Order: sequence, then C-alpha cells, then structure tokens
Amino acid sequence: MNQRTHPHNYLDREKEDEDRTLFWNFTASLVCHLIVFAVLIFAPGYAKGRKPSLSVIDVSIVTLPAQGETTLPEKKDAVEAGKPSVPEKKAPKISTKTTPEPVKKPPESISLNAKKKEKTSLKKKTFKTEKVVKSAIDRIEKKVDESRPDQIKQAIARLEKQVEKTGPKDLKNQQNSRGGGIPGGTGAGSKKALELIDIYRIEIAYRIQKNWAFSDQLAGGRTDLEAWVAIKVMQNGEIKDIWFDKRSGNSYFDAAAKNAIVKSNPLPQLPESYVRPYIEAGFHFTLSGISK
Amino acid sequence: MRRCRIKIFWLIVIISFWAVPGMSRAGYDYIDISQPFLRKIPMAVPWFKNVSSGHKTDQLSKSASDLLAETLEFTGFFKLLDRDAFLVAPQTDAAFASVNFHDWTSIGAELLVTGGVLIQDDLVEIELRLYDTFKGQLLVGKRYKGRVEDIRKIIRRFCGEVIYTLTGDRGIFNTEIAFVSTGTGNKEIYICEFDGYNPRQLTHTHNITLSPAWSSDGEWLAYTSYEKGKPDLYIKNLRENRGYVVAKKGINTTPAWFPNKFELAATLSFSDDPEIYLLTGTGKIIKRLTYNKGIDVSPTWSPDGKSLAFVSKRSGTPQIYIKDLNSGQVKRLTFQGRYNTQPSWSPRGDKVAYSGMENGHNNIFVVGIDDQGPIQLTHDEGDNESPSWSPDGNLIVFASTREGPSRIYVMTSYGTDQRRLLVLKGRQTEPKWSPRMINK
Repeated sequence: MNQRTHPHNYLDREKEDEDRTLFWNFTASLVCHLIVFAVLIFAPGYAKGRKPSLSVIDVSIVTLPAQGETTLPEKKDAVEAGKPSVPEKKAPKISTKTTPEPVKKPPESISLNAKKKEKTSLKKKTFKTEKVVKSAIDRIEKKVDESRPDQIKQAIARLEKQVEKTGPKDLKNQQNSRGGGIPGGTGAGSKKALELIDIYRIEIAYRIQKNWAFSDQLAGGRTDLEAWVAIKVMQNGEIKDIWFDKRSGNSYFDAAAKNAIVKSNPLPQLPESYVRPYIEAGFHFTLSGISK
Repeated sequence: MRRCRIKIFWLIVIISFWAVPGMSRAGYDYIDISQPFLRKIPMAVPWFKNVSSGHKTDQLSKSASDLLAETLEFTGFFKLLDRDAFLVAPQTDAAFASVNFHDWTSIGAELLVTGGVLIQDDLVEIELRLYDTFKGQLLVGKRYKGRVEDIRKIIRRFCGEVIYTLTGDRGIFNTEIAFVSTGTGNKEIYICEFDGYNPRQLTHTHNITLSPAWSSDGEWLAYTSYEKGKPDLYIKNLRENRGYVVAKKGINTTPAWFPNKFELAATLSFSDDPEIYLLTGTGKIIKRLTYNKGIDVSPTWSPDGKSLAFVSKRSGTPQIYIKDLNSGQVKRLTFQGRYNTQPSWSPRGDKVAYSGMENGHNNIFVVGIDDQGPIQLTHDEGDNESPSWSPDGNLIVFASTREGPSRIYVMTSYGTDQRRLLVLKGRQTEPKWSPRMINK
C-alpha cells in the first residue's frame, strides 16, 4: 500500500537486490540438486559393497526340569555367553567330496516301504546293457527332436498373440508420448522394429515372471497386491536401473518383484535393428493369476 | 508486471519438477505379470559349520541343518534348494561367518540360513543366522546354548524366529496334534508334535474314545469316551491328573472349546433330541445354543466367539449352518452336496473347512463365510475327512485313506503340499490341531 501511494527510488532498488538474491539462491539450489541427482544416477550402487554390521543375540535355552535331571553344567570359558562370536577351534580340512551321512529320521516319521528283492530273469542277466542304453538314448533324442519344433511353434504363436494384443496400444502410446523412450517410437521407425521390440519386451517379461518367487501365504493370503516396476535395459541386455512407479505397500511383495528382475539380469541383448542405446520397460506385478 | 513474471517463472519451475517424471513415466506401457512362477521362497540351508572338531560335532551340525531345513519346509512357505547346487563349500568361512551374498543370489536363493555348532562335553552352543541375500542383510541372528538332546527344541525355537521375522506371526512350531488311533486295538487318543514327531498315547480307556478338542490355552483336552458303556464327555487337564465328566442321559459328544474361555459347546441328548449346549469347563450347562427338531452336532466356534458353525439335518440332509449368537439367526452355509459334516472354523475367521461326500467319497472342502466357494481341496484319493486348521491358518491336518488304512495328512490351506504326517500301527483318524502352547 505504501509503495503505491509513496513510490520511492530506493524501494525499487531494494526490490531489484531482492530479486537478484532470489535468483542466485535459486541457481545455487538448482546446481546442488543436479549434483545430487547426478550422483544418484551415475553411482547408484555405491552401497552394494558395504558389509552389514552383524549382531547376534545370545539366547540361553533353559530345559524344563525333567525327572531326576540336574541343571546345566557350569559354564566353561569356551562357551561363555559374553563372547562376541563362537570361538573357533581347528577347523577340519574341507574336502570337496563331502559324503553326508544319511540323517537318521525319527522313528515315527514317514517310512518308505522296504524295497522288495527283485528277481533277475535269465533274459535280464544275458542282455547287453550298452546296446539297450544306446537304443534308449536314440529313442529319447528322437523324441526330443520331434517335440522341439512344436514347443517353439507354440512359443512363437504365444508371442505373436501377445504382440497383437499390445501392439496397437504401443502405437497409440507412441503417437502420444514425447521423447520418453517408448520402444520404436523414434528409432528406426519401421513396423518390423516395433514388432521385434515388442516381442523382446514380452520375452523379458516372461523371463522375469520365471524368476518371480512369492508366497502369498507368507503375505497373509493377500491377493490384492500390485506394484508397478520399471527397468532400463542397455543394448547388451544389462539392466541398468530398476525403479518403482508405484509400490504395493507390502514390503515383501515389492522386494519379491524387484528380486525377480535382479535375478533376470542380464537380459538378452536388444534387437539389432533397434537403434536406441537402451529401452525402458514397465511391469505390472499382480496376483490376479493365482486368485482366479 | 515484473512481479507477475517472477510468479510465472516460479510456477513453471514447480510444475516442471512435478510433471516431468510423470511425463517420462507415461513413456512406456506396463506388461502384466500376474502369477509368480514359484509360490514359495527359495531358501538355502547349507550344512552348519563345525566350530569344534570331532565326529559328534560333525554329525550334529549335519543333522541340525537337515532338521532346520525340514522344519522350515514343513510350513509350506519355502522351497529348499538342493545342496549340490551350492557354490560355497561347507565348513568354509564363506558358508558361515563371512557370507558372499552373490554366491547365493546367483543360484536363486532369496533367503539363507547359516549356522555354527560347538560341542563341549554335553553342552552344545549353536549360532544361527537368517540372511536376505538380495538385500545383503542379516534378518535375525541368535546363539543358543543347551544340552545336546535339546537340539530339536533349539532348532524349532529358531524356526519360530524365522517365521516371526518374515510374517510377524509366531508360527506353528510349539503346537501339537491330537488324534484317535487304533494301535492298541481300541480307539484311544494320541498326541504328537506338529510334524508328527514324538507320538504318545494319552488315554488308556480300553474302549472307544473319540472327538478330541483342545482348549484355547492348550491345557485341557475334552473328548468322548464309551468307558461307562455310553458316550460321555471327559474334560481332562493335560498337566495335572484331574478332570471332569459329563455323563448325562443319552449322548454327550463333539466338544468344542469357546475361544479364550473355560467353557465349551457340546452335543447332549438328555432331552431325547441331540442339541448343542454351552457348558462350563467343569461340565455344568450354561445355556442351550440350538433349538431345532432333528440332530444338531459338531459345533465349531468363530475365532471371536460370536458365531457357531454346526451340522444340522433341519433341511433333510446333513448340512453346515452358522448361528449368530447375538441375533440368534441361523443361516445355511453349504448347499453343494448332500452330506456335509465336520466343520472347522479357520483361525482367521474367514473360512470353514468341512468334509463333504460326493459320489460315495468324502473330500475336504473350504467355504468362505461370505458364501464364496466352496473349493475342493482333496480329489480322487480315498476318503478325506476331519479337517482341522493350524493356529496360523496356513495348514490343514486331516485323515485320509488314500494309502489304505486311515492316516493323518497335512496340506496347505490351498490344498497343496499334501503329505503324510506319521505312520503308526492301526488306523489314525480325527486329528485336531492344538493352539500355540506357551510353555513348549
């Protein structure tokens, strides 16, 4: 109000100084932010080599007094509870061929039926083992050869089907997206490249799914969890970055999804016709498949 | 004007900070991955390291690591990896003290349990650690000291720690299972530990004994016995040699303890019509719970004690009904099949397991109390009866004749991992899973 009714030059100057200070503060803040982000982007794995600080809690088990039993013998120096770690004695030599002794199962546990002595017929005694083995191997190889093309055909058919489903979505997205790295969008541009990269994405999704281990029972039987995870895959198939676009809220579910991706690293190389140095792919982890 | 420009500048800065990540997020589609390939967690349990030397230590470290692996695998949560696939030789520091997590992640292990065993005289000192291999993090580490004979107890205690760390629940390692067996020629009640270990005979009635039922604190067991020529109800304290008998006119059967109270429901027929009554733990009638002409038997309580499921023939065939004790309303739960009996309410309160007959065979089914289901858990393998939930709600114990004589089996609550619990002389039926025992 004062400024309007009584304008003075020194007030304008003060205002300019204020703006300048504000500008420099902003610039300094921006530079600091950029440095922090650069460090996070280029050196994300700095914490990997760190060893966890291990702490072990001592627990002494107390046995319920049984008939005629005395208490535990007195502590000896070697088994003192206060020691930071279990005192190590001369370790026995490690032999790579360790033949574990069969562990005696408790007598009430499931016992397999005793194997009956098989009678050996004269035919079995005289037949040529090598010949039989060879013919069996030939038969198996033949079977494998016969079955292989079918499986490949099925896999291709499955991929084609999935590409048909996802293809139009990608195209639509390609038109709408700006820069963000949608496969095929600004690369070779040909339909062939688009199809290849789509097949590639489905292939890596399949690989990640194969590595996904999750016990819904351990998560309390919840099947409503979902997480959106994205990855950056380099030309050589290396997963450079993993990030959550949206977490499920269940740390075990999120960790299992991330573990599945980490286990899948490295992924197959990007298709040769794909000219960009990397792709980004997103995965929507849900449990809808098991709740059906 | 100048101020306006500055405002616009700031607005653009703020918007760009918020919007740019969002724009880039929209740069790719999401592919649905809707089913885990493995519904268990891959876990590695290498043989424990011998900290002291000697044959005894070597034997104990191997048997203890095997026991730990078996105990954890029993829960159905874990897939134990084959030791032949391990990259780390046992008895090296890498297998115990200084773990290289890459050795374990590269074979797919997400969890790792290592241990070190030291034996001095008759005392064993065992240090156990659970690691998250992908995070490279120690999740829990404990050192136990006790007698060599206590190794099973020590291992179970650590397994309890593992499950508690991963789920926040104490697990089933301090539970027992009661069942009926004809090993002596008579139907007697036996008790074994949750994994079938250490079975022992509880009753010696030399007569027919049926329907064991655990109290919520695990200190009392109620059962029906024909000791005096007719079915009477026996309420027995498991620690002390005392108990009560309900021997009213007619039948006194199928007891079910009220959650966290010294009260139980049971079927009594002193009025000629078998109805369900609420009794004190000493056997005195508190009140009648069902009112219907026709047989009402086999009560099972909801975990909150507000509802009761039971079997009734009020619609012509044996079906399972639920009674809301506050409103007094009764609703029918099962509609599929003509012979549905032996209900068991899940500890989470959302499901009831029962035995249903179809095509002349009994099978285990699970139905949601919100009318979802039923889901059949056993198929085409003899008669499967008497389901009973583990106290964590993850496992179901039941009796089956799939291998000839009736035996006790365990499966997950989804019907997977069905395996026999134990083999004893005679036939084993009517298993009942105990609650968690505090002093076990």
